[in-house]
Amino acid sequence: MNRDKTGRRDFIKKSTAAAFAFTVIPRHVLGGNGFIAPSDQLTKGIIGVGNMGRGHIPYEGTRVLAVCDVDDDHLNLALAQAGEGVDAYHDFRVLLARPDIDIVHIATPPHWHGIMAKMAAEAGKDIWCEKPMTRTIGEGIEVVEAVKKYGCMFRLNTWFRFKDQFYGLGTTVRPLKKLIDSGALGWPLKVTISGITGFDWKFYWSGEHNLNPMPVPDNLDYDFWLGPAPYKPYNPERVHSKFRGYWDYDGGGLGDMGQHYLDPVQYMLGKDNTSPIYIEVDAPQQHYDAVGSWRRIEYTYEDGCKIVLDGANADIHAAYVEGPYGKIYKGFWSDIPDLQKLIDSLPEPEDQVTIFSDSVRTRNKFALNEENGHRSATIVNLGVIAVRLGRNLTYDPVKQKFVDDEGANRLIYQPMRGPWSI
Amino acid sequence: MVNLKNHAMKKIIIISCLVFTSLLGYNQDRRATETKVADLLARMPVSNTIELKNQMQEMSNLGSQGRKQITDMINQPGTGDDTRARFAVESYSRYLSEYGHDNEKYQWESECIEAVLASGYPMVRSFFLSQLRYIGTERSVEFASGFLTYEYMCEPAVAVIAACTSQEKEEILAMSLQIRPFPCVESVINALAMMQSDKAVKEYVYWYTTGDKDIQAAALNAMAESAHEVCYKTISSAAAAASYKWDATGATAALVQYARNMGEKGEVSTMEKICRDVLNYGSVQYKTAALEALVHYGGYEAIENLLTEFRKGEPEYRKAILNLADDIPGKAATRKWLVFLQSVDNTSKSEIIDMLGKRGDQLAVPYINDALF
Repeated sequence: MNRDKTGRRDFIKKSTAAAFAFTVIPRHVLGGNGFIAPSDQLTKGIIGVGNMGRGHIPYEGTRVLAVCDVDDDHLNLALAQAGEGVDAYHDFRVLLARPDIDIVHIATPPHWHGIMAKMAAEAGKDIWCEKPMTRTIGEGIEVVEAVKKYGCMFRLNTWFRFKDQFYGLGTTVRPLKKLIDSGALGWPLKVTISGITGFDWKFYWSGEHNLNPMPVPDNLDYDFWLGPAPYKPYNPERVHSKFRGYWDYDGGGLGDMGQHYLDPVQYMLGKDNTSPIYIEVDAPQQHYDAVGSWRRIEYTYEDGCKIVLDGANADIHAAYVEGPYGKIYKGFWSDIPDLQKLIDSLPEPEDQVTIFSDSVRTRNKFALNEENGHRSATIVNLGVIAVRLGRNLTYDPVKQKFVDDEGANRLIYQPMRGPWSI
Repeated sequence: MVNLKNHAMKKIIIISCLVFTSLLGYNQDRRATETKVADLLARMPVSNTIELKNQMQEMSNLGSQGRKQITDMINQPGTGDDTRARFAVESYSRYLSEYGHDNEKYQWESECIEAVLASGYPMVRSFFLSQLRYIGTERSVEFASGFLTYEYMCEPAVAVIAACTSQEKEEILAMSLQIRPFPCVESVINALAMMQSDKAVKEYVYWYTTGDKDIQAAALNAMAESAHEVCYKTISSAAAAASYKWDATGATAALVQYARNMGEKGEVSTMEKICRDVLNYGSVQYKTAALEALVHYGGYEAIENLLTEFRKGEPEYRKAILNLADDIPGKAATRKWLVFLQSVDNTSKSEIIDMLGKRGDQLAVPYINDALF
């Protein structure tokens, strides 16, 4: 077992001191460009090493010390990939107890995200969490509170608000943000997310009906995998790459891609501190256990801005962003003359911290953190609840509760199977 | 005589005819209901919310007898395809969970309760119990409490009790903790913690002292949420035993949460005493949480704590303190930081100036300007 005693706190101490010292020989001269000595690397533990978690074993500037999974096959694959000196755990609480781990990467199915994030915050870890941030709105509220209370850094793992071409838009979000902030499109705006505007809703994440109980494979601790979710007999459809299709663990295609697509929209519209007030839904009847598809979910903010998720690609002329003075279509085509020239003339948006290790070292909030991440996860969860209940909803973004709908409010915090709670 | 006989015969014949007709009618009604049920189920799942609403109104019109035909179709998983019946049952609960529908909701609650009793299979029972999570009232809470001592039914029963609005549920859950052994003690304690209940504080302590790590974690959290003085000794001893560091029972987190809740109750001196202990012995995240509680309940009064801790803190802790400085707004606080600025080293000075810049108080401008040149 290799337990590196140099943790984040030691590193911050050293780096702060170094910032005020006269450096004669730059470190990269000794180790090559981009070299970070092992003792200066942030250390990481990954909880959940299925395909997603294993994909995060190599990450620049960080070193994995431990991996954790309730499936022995996943653990073995992760250990083979990670190489020497990495410890494997079955119970994530053992990983959290290690003082030498700086960052905990949560790559489990979403029904675990909230619990693990809150416990990681209590353990003093910085947190890198996969999307969707939490499976319920209530869990998100608890994570926001815990991260603030314990002073940790949090990164939600979607990135389109600050880098990469945004699906079919053919551009990063930055020029769109500039354009919207300038008022060139007018206000309020309507954003349509559909195949027509360059996005793909993955309805293949719908679950199967009438699953037959099957024997649990020896490599899987199914009870621990279920964790807070209600007990249902094992069937391979429920777990690993299929879990998204079941309400108890995620929210189907909307749960999978929703935060990727919606978070940048929330950023562009400047809605990081609020949520929509109306949610209108057009969807087929939904199964008690398996998530199904939907045709349209329309969100309206208090100021009239709208986000339309057009799952049926019904509006074949839809613009991605539409305002009173102009429209932006898939491929960044627009009816605004000299668009690029206009964008070039506009001020840049406020800088964001876009490298998580910088956030950890400087203790400045990451671009997509627990607060704005909770709000964009809320958009996803509002849609999931509306689809599940098959009705339109009214939401109070300040109280974070539905208005005059006790049934919907009962889905904000959902009971957890013991011993788990948040 | 003959006339009398004829008269009696006529009567018998008439009554027989009436009975026959009514039986015929009953059978026709039953067949009609069966047809309606079959027709309803054949259309499931429907393709949109308008059809769904119409369909749920049809389900409502089926009456208890018709809906019982549907609830009777729910099978133990793996023993037949009951997909359509499950669509119907769950959709009806979701539909009724909307505002209004009070009479139908009451009736459906009774029918789900009957369906739980009618089945001997835990997975069928838990399916019907889960319907009560959408529409359950006091009756469901009382009913579900009867399952708390059953190993396979305890968790779904607690879920019903936790979800439903009820005056009685706190009492019921608290009393259940006196039953020993008890199959899902952590879930009951967690549900009480969510309610910030202090009705079972002695049971929390009992289960903490006799339970495993999971039960201890649940009990400590519930003690913290109860903010009851009886729990203080147990929580503080647990945190001290964990050296005010993280452990799987969450003892130190519970202590800080207890302090916060004491602050909420107005017991500020107890809160301050606990926070001082945590500041003296705790690891960074707990010290940060203790400061956060002091700032939250003390406001400007807590600024001396921030300054003192800043001076002795390591960089990560100092940054957390500067983030908390935002929670004490106002010029008086800015002045304190400006005076403090004169007494710290250059590293700390740069950190404080950064905070003041973000704070945006004009009072700080001359100091920031001086620092620039």
